[in-house]
Formats: sequence, structure tokens, C-alpha cells
Amino acid sequence: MTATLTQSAAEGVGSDPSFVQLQHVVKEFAVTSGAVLQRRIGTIKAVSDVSFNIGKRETFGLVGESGCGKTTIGRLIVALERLTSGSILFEGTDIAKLRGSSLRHRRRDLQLMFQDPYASLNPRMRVGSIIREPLAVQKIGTKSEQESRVRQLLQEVGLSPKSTELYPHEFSGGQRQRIGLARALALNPKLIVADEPVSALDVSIRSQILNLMNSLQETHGLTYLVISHDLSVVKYLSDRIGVMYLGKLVEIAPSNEIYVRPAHPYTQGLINAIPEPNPVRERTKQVQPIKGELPSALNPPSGCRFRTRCPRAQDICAVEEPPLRPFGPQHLAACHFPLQTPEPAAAA
Amino acid sequence: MTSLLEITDLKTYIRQRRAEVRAVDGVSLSIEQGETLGLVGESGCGKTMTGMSIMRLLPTGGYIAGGSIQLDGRELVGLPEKEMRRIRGNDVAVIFQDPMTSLNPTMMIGDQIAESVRIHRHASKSEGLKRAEEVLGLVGMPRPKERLKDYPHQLSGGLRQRVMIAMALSCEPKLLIADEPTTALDVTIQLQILELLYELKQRLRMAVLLITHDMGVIAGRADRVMVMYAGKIVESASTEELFDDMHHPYTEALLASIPRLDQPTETLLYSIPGLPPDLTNPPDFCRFQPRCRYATGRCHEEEPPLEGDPRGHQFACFNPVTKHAHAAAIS
Repeated sequence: MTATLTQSAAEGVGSDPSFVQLQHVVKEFAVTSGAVLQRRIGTIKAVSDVSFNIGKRETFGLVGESGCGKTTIGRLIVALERLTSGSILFEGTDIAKLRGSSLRHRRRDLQLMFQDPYASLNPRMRVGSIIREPLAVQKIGTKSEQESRVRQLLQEVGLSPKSTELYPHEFSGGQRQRIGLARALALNPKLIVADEPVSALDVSIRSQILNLMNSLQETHGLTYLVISHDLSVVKYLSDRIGVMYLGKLVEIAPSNEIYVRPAHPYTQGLINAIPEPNPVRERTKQVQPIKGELPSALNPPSGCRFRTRCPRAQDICAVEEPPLRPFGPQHLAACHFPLQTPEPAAAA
Repeated sequence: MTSLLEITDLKTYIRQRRAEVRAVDGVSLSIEQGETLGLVGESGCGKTMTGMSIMRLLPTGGYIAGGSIQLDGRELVGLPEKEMRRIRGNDVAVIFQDPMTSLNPTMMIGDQIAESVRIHRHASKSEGLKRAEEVLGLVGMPRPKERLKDYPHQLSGGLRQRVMIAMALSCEPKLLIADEPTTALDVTIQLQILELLYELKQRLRMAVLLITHDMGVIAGRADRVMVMYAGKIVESASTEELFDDMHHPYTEALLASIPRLDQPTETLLYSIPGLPPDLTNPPDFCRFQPRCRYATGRCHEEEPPLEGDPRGHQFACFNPVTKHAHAAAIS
């Protein structure tokens, strides 16, 4: 009963709400000690039982601070990491179970746009080769067809086709990010995971890339997973947003809803902490900063992981992990003492 | 009454192999005691170089090519290095963006904080550590005495930043230069650190030069703001007035290009086309002209001077934005 309600509330918008389905995804990293024998002394619980869907042509935003697991989820979706347990269904197929040539084939559909425009482009390759590489690896088209496609892609991202002969260092950060986008589009993917797409860019350049991402989504029918610590950027691009804390999904809702009616105290704390370019509002804000430091991912707090910093925490929070509960259409949050009134449980 | 810091027509250039970068190209500003002046702009605008010129912590090839920097009436340009060392960490202190690269990874944090006190106050090792403990408590470090023996890598980003603040404040400087102090931190930790800086500045009656690209941080924490572009100041005003009634097209464009939480989701962000000019060969007309949507012929011929009351509202533009025009432009 409750499971079905939860399921439908986590579903994506768009033509196919279960285009991408994450089901009870767990990813743990072993921490070892010793140079030779590598004894396992603990595990980092980077992603702990996360489930949500992304709809076709939707932009889903994943937001949270250091160590929340959002980047790991991005990497799991494009199969750069392997799951510890759970499944990731893409168009109905569990990509976590794919290997070899079927995985390679699937990779065409799931591409990654990287954060660091300076580190993500091989400085010793010309731009033309960088963008052509995915086509060459996947053996798509002849060399001249590939080169023609590269020129077309460069134009689409607003760069001159003559850029093919230049090296990355000859471009600015914003231009390099465009090159990264062109490379991500080379294989005509269905989904692009954009991990911190604008964080490394100057403020006035960010809007160029954000606007470009939006227009490319239109022309290519793309689905985006946008990952960032910057809620303003995520809210601008996304239809729905998931908030993560220390490996857990604590809230998920449509973008405007999350801003106007956050249910989880952490989401509220995140929103309050963002400095607004509005002096009058900033100075009259009566907000208590979220206290304390992030707990260790090796040994997260029992029950609710946010309880050690939560102004509303009580005894039960240490004992029982709060489940995701509905707070409105497509709105879920996991908290024993939420900021909004939860919807009553539906009848079977 | 003299200002605490008075900079007049500062020019800081950086000699490179084939050319000279005019990083700061004629900047004047003043900071009163206890005031927080925000210096805002994007990378390459010269804001960090301005701050570093005050401390004379310039990169290789960097030098002050002209102008004056007066701290409490005393001229710093041309001061012998020996004298400059007495001022650094003592009268003026600095905190940087990335505490991991600014803290010595091989020294315990207690010793790093005590170092400043021992040098400037000629204190003994134990007196230095006592002061370090005191100041760590002041910056909100839990269990300060135990933390004295920690190494920087054992601390989180937020705690390292607190250590850096403790180091900067150990000798109670009159002026704190904070260069992107919270940019590398998580947003919830950023709020903690900004609140801490505000409290400390009030308590110690310290002036702050807050250097950042973040207009939100400026809005909340600066008394006055100066906007820099391509090595020059393009606008300066009290914070409220800058946001409410900006005059320079770059200030307007910057604010219009930032995604805001309170915007309706369908808003299209303004995009400033093009790139800033090459500072090895800056133009002799308006430096923002190639990217400005209000530019006229004159803007391509002459450089607009910075006009207005330096303690009121100044701007350098032949076609300044007005409230009425601004509202029309953003709708």
C-alpha cells in the first residue's frame, strides 16, 4: 500500500516516467590499511538504499553537500562504478548486470559531462580528436563522416568548426565546457549526466552554458541528471529535485515545491544557507545555521543520519530511520518531525 | 579623519616572458575602521591582486608599478621588506580560499597559530600556545586544547578554515583581507564561517576587505561594494544602493545572469557575450564596450572616467543604467 504510493510519488514526469529507475541502490567503498596486505578496516557507505525514477526528457536534479553520494550515483548510472547491490534500470534493462559488448553498446545512450573543464580534456589532443574519440571507439561511421559530425557538433555548441585544429589550452573555461558538451553529444545519447556543469566557471559564463544545455535538450530530446551542490543552478535547470545527505535521499519534489514547501529540516537548512543577492532580505533573515560538522561516512549516525545536526531531533531519531513519506504530488521526505504535514496513508 | 586604508591609483603589473599583465590598472579605494568593503568581480578582474598588493604578497614577476597604499596614514609602497614583515600578520592579516594549500601540512595547528604571536609579540613557546588555544576557542573550535596537536589533514574543510581565521586573528589585526574565504566550502558550512567572521569583526572592531565573486555573499556581509572589471573599478556604492540602483552595465549584467532561488523556473538568464580583454594590451577605450548591450560610438573611442563621490556612488560609464531602464531591460 504505502510502497505503491511511495513508488508513484517518486516517478518521473515526461513521456515515460520510468525511463531510468534506481531501485535500492547501494554503493560501498572499502577502506584498507597497509601497503602490502591491504586489510579492510571499514567501508564508506557512499550510497545507502537510494531509489528514484527519472522520466524521459525530464531534467532531474540531485543536490547535496560533500560526501552525500550524488556524484557516486552519477557515476553508477553511466557505469563508471559498479553497484554493491540494487539495480539501475534503463529503458527496462538492468544496466548493472550488463557486461562486455552489450554494456559497450548501452554506453552510447548514457553520457557524462564532467565538472572540471581543465582536467577533463586531454591537453595533448586536438579538439577535433577529442570530440571524435567516442565515435572512433564505438566504430560509428567512416573517418570523414565522423569529422563532419564533429564540425556539426561544434556549431551546435556555439563554437567555430575551425576549432578542430586547436588544443584545449587555447580555449577559455566556458569554451572548454562547450567542448565537453559536444563530446557528450557525439554518440547521440538519450541521457546526459552533468556533474557540476558550471561550478568551475565564472559567474557570467555560467548562464551561457545553462542556456545552451536547455536549448540542446529541446533539439535533441535529451534527459538530464544534473548533479550539483549549488541549489540555485539545480533549481534553474530541473523539473524535479532530490536532496541527498550522507548517502541517503532525504527529500524529492518538483523544483518549485522544494523551495516553497520543503519538508525536511536539512533541505530548509540548505535553502537558508544560500546567500541571496538581495541585501534587504539577507540582513533581515533570522536563520539559525545548521550546526556542527558532517559525520563520518565510515560510521554514520544510527537511525536518521542527519540527527546529529538537526534542530528538531528527538530520541526516536537515533533509534529508527525515518521512511520516505508523501507530502503532496510527487513530493516525498524522510523525517520523523517534518516541516510540513504528511499526507495520510492511502487506503489499499 | 584618516581612513584605516587608503589606496590611490594603484597599478600592479606582472612581468611575463613576452609581455606584462596590467592586473591592477589604476585602482583607488578606502576602508574605514570597522567597515567591511566588498570587492567583487570575476577571475582576472584584479580583485585578488589588489588584496595581495596591500600585503605585498605578489606572484613571481609581480610588482607595484605606481600609486600609494596607506595603512593608518603610513605609506606601504616602497617600505623595506623588513618593515613589511612587521605589518603582515600583525596589522594586516589574510585568509585564503583553500585552507589545505594555505596551512603547512607538516606543522601541528597549535604551532602554526602560535607562530604569528611568537614573531610579532616576542612570546615564548608556551605563551604562544596559550594564545593559540584562546583564539581557537574564539573561532568556535570544539575542544580547542586537544586540537592544538592536530595536523591540517585531520580536519574537515570548515575546521581548517577556522584554523586559518584563528591564525589571522591571533595578533588582532586592524584589517583582515578575506579572499574568497568560503568559496571552497559546503554551503551550510559557508554560513557558519560567514556568521563567525561577522561576529569576530564586530567584537574586534576590525575592518574587512571581502574579496569574492559571489553577489549573495556581498549582499549579506558588505557595507560598501566595489565592482571590478579588467583591472579597474567600474562601480562603487553602499551595498543597498548598488543592488537597488546600479548604474554600470556590467553590474546589471552580472546580476541578471545569476540563477536565483526565488525566480520562477521559466526565467531565461541573461548571458554576457564574449570575454574580458587581454590585460597585456588593454584598449584605450571602455574595457567593457565589446560586451555591452548599451554601447555607443563614444564607448569605442574614449575610456569613461570613474565619476562620483568616492564614499557615495561612483561609476565609470557614458551610458549608465537607471532604475527605469533597468526594470525595462530585465522584464
